[in-house]
Amino acid sequence: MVVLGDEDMPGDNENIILEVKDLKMWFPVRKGLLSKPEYVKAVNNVSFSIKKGETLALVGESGSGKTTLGKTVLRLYEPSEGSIIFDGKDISHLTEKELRWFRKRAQMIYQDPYESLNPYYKVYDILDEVLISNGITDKEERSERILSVLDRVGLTPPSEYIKKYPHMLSGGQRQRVAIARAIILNPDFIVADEPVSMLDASIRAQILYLLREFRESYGITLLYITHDLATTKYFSDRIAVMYAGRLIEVGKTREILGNPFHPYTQALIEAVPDPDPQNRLKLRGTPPGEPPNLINPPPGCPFNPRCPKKLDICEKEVPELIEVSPGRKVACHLYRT
Amino acid sequence: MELLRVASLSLSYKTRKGPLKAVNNVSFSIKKGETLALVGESGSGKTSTATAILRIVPRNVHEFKGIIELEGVNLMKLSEDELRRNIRWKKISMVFQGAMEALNPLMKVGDQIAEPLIIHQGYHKEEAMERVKELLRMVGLPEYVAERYPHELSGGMKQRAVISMALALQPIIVILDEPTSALDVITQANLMNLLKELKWKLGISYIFITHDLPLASELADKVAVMYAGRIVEIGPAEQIYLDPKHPYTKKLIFSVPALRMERAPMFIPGEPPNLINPPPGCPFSPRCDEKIEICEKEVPTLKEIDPEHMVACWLY
Ligand SMILES: Nc1ncnc2c1ncn2[C@@H]1O[C@H](COP(=O)(O)OP(=O)(O)OP(=O)(O)O)[C@@H](O)[C@H]1O
Ligand SMILES: Nc1ncnc2c1ncn2[C@@H]1O[C@H](COP(=O)(O)OP(=O)(O)OP(=O)(O)O)[C@@H](O)[C@H]1O
Ligand code: SF4
Ligand SMILES: [Mg+2]
Ligand SMILES: [Mg+2]
Repeated sequence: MVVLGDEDMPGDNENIILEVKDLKMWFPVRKGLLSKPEYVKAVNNVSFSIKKGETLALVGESGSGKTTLGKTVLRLYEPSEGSIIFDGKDISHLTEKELRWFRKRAQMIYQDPYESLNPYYKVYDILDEVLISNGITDKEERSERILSVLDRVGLTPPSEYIKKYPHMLSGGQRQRVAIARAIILNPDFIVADEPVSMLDASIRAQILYLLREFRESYGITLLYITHDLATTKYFSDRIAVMYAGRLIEVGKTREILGNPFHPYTQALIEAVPDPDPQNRLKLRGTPPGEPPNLINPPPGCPFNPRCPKKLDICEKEVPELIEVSPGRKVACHLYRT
Repeated sequence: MELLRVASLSLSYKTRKGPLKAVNNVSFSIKKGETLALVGESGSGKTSTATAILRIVPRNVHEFKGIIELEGVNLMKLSEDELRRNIRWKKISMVFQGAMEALNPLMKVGDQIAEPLIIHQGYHKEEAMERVKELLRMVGLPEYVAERYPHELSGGMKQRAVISMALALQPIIVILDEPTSALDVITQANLMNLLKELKWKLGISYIFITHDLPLASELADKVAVMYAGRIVEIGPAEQIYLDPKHPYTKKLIFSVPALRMERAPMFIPGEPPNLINPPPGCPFSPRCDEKIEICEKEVPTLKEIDPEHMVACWLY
């Protein structure tokens, strides 16, 4: 087990692998040819950091900007503003050529194993391609690494899987291939974007345990994107909650789930059913409405139109993400001191 | 009396590799106002069971037999015409899997809700539009939704519109096939609240189909667990959730991470069985860690172990 460090101490930056500051990823959209562009503010002023070996869960509803944030920190997008510091180096605006070292160290696992694997490649070639494009010329070495990585993701015996095409595999097996592809270069950091949401409940846990095992045995740092709060409880150290492009609460997993501060986090937790036959006898308290449009979010706190506890100021000022107790941050006017 | 009694229902499809048994000797019953949740993994035969009940089966049916008795009348014996005139949508309606994505993008939502009322029920246009307004109110949508096109609505609103269509002719049973699986948790919770209120207010019975066991507990009075086309356990929600008996049900319940309880999820090793060449004996035997010798030889049938609680497993 990796023992996780204590709270961030001021100046304790050695353990931080990724630091994101005031990050914005705004996508321009044009209504007509002559009209001014408007922006989808998919990531809006986001700051957070991840320590080495840590799993940070990024949770939030559909369209809140989770995937965009994940892709931006991996520099699959160039940020509109703000900075991304990976292992001490600012990668925010590096060119693809300058990013080559980073590409080896940071990987992404996608939600849909059906779409993320090339259907015309055999498992062997899917993995071989990654090695070749990263300059590993020795054929024997590549073959060894491919067999060993398949073994590590539980596709055993590997010889049985290398000749298969993705369509010959089950959803769970495909996601294992996707994981093998992500770890074959021994990365330090992985963004796993809803890695199990397409899979049946009975195999979800299997894949999540596999990811946890890699974290524990190789110290891989994980940004685990999900809308499934229950899995974060068992598979993450900290949670960052995203709403309408902003982070609205960050803290240790157990603290957030046990005692959520932000009214949105509270609503999110309240909405999740546990398997309990009593559930059918009562209604759930939930906020009305749906998340705002990201082109013209409401002024003030983005949650204010749905918030049961809002104050006058909530419609006027955007609450900042401030530390309310060690390691715990909330963006809500109720917690201003 | 039972409202709906399904007995020995079987449905298989022709495929290139041979017949595929999607529904295999399924039996259950529902009382008035009672909700049955049909749970199981992808491919276990949930949708096939539902469409069999409505007798909406695809062309490549290989074999389709059994008893489907609604208020004492065997639907299998009715002509297609009788079924269409008296049963489908009037007594039993269904919200199909993915229905909200199947709304006609070129037609206003109100017209889509009204269309079957006009074409099949002989409503006048104005009458139908009045009913549409009533239906929208019932599912918690503002009247202006009638004038909108599907793409102008959020997922939650579209799903409510689709539910209102299923309610149009005041059915006594509504089959809901994964009605919330594309929705966010808060939207899902709001929709489950609506379904509960409708159930309490109108006394509807649901057959609620899902692969999500925690979600099923939001509605289910009774739970049927399907595996490889068979019901392997069925019983009152209390017993299935709190005291599951079948090894598969136990594994399924414990594979769900619980948010409020402290229970790390387990998983089920292996893969679901092939339905064209199923393993001999109990379909779960290749993945079962409690199996005994007979399990690999003979198929266990449902046995009552407590009142209303039945299990198909050689351990009982
Ligand atoms: N390339 C793009 N161009 C324009 N808009 C985009 C682009 N990518 C994402 N968006 C928009 O940004 C917002 C955030 O999308 P994103 O996919 O990051 O959300 P998400 O939280 O990952 O949602 P989900 O849970 O549905 O995957 C959405 O409104 C989306 O439509
Ligand atoms: N028209 C068809 N022809 C051939 N096979 C079919 C047909 N429809 C369904 N099947 C197969 O029958 C089995 C049961 O399918 P069904 O759709 O009933 O499962 P399900 O439990 O509803 O699954 P899901 O959770 O994925 O919706 C599956 O193996 C499926 O591939
Ligand atoms: S800032 Fe105001 S509106 Fe936003 S969550 Fe807090 S109380 Fe509610
Ligand atoms: Mg996403
Ligand atoms: Mg189905």
